[in-house]
Amino acid sequence: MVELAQYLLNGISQGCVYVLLASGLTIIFGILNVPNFAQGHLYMVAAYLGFYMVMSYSTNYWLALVLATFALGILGLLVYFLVFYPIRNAPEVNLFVAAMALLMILEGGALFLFGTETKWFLIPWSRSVLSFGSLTLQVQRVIVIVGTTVVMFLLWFFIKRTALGAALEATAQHREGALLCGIKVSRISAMAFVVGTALAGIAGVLIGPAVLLEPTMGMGPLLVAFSAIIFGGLGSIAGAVVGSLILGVVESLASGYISAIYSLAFVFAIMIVMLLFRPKGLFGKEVWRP
Amino acid sequence: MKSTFSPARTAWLLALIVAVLLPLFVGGYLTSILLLIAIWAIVAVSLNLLYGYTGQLSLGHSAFLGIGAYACGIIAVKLHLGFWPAFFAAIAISGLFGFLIGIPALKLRGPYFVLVTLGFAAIVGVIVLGWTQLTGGANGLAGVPRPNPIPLPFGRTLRFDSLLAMYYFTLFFLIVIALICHRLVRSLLGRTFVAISHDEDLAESLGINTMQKKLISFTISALFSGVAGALYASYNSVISPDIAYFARGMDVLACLIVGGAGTMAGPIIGTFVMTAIPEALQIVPTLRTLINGFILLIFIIFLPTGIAGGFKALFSRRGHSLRSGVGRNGVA
Amino acid sequence: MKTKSIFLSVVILLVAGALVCPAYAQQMKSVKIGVISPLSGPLTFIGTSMLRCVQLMVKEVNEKGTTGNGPGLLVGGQRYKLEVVNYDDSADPAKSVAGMRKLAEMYNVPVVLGPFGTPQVWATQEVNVGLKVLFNGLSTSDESRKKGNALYIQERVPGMYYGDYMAEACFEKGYKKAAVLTDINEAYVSWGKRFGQKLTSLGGQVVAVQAVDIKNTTDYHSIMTSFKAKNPDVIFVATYEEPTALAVNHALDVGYKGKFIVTSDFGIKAERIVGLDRMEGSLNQAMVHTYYRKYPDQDKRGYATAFIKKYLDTYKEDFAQPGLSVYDPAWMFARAMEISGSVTDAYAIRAACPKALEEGKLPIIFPNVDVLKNGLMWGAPELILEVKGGQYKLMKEFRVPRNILE
Repeated sequence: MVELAQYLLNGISQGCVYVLLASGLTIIFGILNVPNFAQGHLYMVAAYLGFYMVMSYSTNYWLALVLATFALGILGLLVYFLVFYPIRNAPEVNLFVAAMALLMILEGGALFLFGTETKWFLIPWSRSVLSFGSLTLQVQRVIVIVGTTVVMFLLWFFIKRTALGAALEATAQHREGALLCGIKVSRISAMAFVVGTALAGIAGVLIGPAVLLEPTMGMGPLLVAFSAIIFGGLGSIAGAVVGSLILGVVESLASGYISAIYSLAFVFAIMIVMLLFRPKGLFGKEVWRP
Repeated sequence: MKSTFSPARTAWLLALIVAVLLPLFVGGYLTSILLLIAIWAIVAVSLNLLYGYTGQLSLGHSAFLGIGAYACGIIAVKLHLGFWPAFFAAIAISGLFGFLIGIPALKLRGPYFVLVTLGFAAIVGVIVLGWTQLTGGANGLAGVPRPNPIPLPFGRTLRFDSLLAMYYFTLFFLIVIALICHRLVRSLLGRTFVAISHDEDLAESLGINTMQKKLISFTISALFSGVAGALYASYNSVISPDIAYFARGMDVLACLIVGGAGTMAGPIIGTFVMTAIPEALQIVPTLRTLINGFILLIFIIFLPTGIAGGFKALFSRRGHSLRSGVGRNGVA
Repeated sequence: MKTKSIFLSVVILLVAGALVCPAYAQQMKSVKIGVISPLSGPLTFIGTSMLRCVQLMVKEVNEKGTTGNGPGLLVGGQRYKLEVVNYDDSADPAKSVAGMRKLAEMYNVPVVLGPFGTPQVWATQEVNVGLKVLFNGLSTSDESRKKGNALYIQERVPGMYYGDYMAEACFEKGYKKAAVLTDINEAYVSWGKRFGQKLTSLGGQVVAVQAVDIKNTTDYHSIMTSFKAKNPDVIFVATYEEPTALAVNHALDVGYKGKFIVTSDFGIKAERIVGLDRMEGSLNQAMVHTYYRKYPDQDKRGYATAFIKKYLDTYKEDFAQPGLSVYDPAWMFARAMEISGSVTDAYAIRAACPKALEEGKLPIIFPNVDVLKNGLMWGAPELILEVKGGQYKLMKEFRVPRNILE
């Protein structure tokens, strides 16, 4: 029975990884209606940035976290105006393809710039674990859980308690209505994208030290994050959080009790089942209509 | 109606002549590349039917390619039934899977549909890798046979052992499938597809059973991808899980977009361009993904109708302009 | 057409290149050796290492010759410069085959190093004989040398045979209960199976078995939790280097206090990721160069140490363990060309390979002494190392008897 508790703990820590990715994904989807396939690779870029800052330039870890987040935000702004803004009126599938192209560019660029060798963080607490009775968790993963909680709280505060956040929510709910209210929808769209990429940035530096870095590291978590937001409901941040945590736990339980190979299949099966019986997910808005 | 020697028809004829004659003059390496292009072009053509003409974007076609390849391989190798029964069974099985997956999946639209197909593709990939007893696991299956020799009149036989024979075999299917799609798209069924791609609800309101039509399109599309898979298995004689890897679905989509979705030539041009360029760029392999990404990005922003769509616009006699930014071209 | 103009450009470039070459190249003829490896996609690191190893070998031969009789190869009285031509197959078996065709047709290579991966090698085995190319395909499968391919070289004994010795070592140390984690690759799975069978036959017990697909798994915590629950004395891990390190780390994270037995993939990088001080009492079935890297004075022949230094100095980056495997076969091919007196006849070169190793004069890393009829290079010892006080201690040395490999 102790194992069950450990599985749950593992699942929650892994789930937090997905929370950070999924929340960014769902915000971008809610506003721009495009599944940002490149989110996983943005996370990868942030992880590498953090790695070089901390390992090659001896930057303080927490400072690197802030800097990487900013850098990703700026990258997001650039990407939005260079890629998504010019084609904003095109059919949604074009934006999706553009995200795919972005993914390829980021991966190719990372391969070229960072080389092919796997890299890993080595910071003072890399090898330490925290124990709670017979349960243990790597210190970095504890940081991930705490960091995710803090970030989600800040995000909630931003959306529910600030005017800008309200504008964001309004645009996600009904674009034309928001326009009618005088909200500058195009700016909000840009901001949504920046928030999304910044979240990927935080994810990269928080999670980086807990895993190995390689150019394809973002793909796996991205797929689970997609499943999570479908499960939770596209456009709903609460849904992203709940979905991610549930899928993280499912993955952990499947790995422990059944087999690690099929855990990804389980995750996708859950997504498919949800799509078939309740496409809007747990908390989502109505299924997409043209 | 087009005149007999319109630019389009001439181009097709020229391309056909080149495709048939070129392998006779170049070595095995280039022929094998052309063969691979032909196989991937079949997948692109099948995706084009579903996406370019029926408007449903699927990222799951790697699954049907894989199912076709593995069905052919397993039946031929493990059940010792030889090529031809395996080949036709593989096609039928892919079509069947298309039908079964399509029924639930096509209830969804837009990004939801895309993600469902992606999910199925990922699951197929995992099963292919994990079910070692059936599929050979990570090592895959070896010894997939070539088509059995076909006896011809006058005591001769048509053998498929050579690369050249396999190439023409594959080219034959590419032509047949392309022709079928061509006729299909111009038929009433095809026009129904296009109607659905423009506005599904409107089509529904006109009395079209959109679910049924989409399912037909999806099944045929899956079936054709299965053909490509079986051909691949037979050509390579070795199949491994990487053929069912879901990321390949994205590669095929990229080929289709660059070539021009919604045109007949698009998938073939696109596959050729996206395959030939990396081959020619053998000198800079570490930059390949990067360059592919840039090509795709530039096309999707500046020429979303693809190469074929661009040509169509150039040669278009009628005044109507294609919908700006449309990723699909419809039937001209 | 497009392909023809590309072809033409390549020809023009080659001619131009040949004209620009320094004078000495025109006095020596050149022979090309091919490398097929993944230079894009997830296995890029391995493919790049493969290419670099061959390039290092070529450089050395061109300067000093195969046995100090340089520069270049001395074949039938004529000196030849070695040149590398490579092809990126992205680990796609169909492209491995296309690459073999290209290298054979366009450059007339008599020998090829690579491709990497069992399906890739099996696919290539369909065409290499027809193209008359001798190749060393990197496959850890036991099947690869049993297909009757006359021009195939397997450079290392498939790992599953080591399972017996690893089980014996574990049992000797009193680690009788084992949990087994392997990569989903059949070679690793059979490695784990064999280990388990031997351990059980000695009186031990296998309490858990799991396979993982390293492409999709970055979190081993739950697997290790399930292992820990069964209380094994030792956890057997057989997969590539970084995932092995990760798995070990995650086992330690969830509070596992037992030992590990890892395979030869566990190299210096894995040591750095985990930290040998955390693996006290664990065993490593290592290849000789892993041991020599830490204890250069143990390297009596000195070649492994020299190679590692040269690689690091030249490329400033470490190599992937599997990529190293092509280095020795490349030397063997070069020397075999000299012995056979041919730079074009793949069969003659293959026939000369056993002699090339027997002579014992090549600066190869693994001291193989023979090539079996089925193409397996044989003779190098494998080691079992024990971790003591943050250092390795040599526990035993073994060789799989050749009669069971034939």
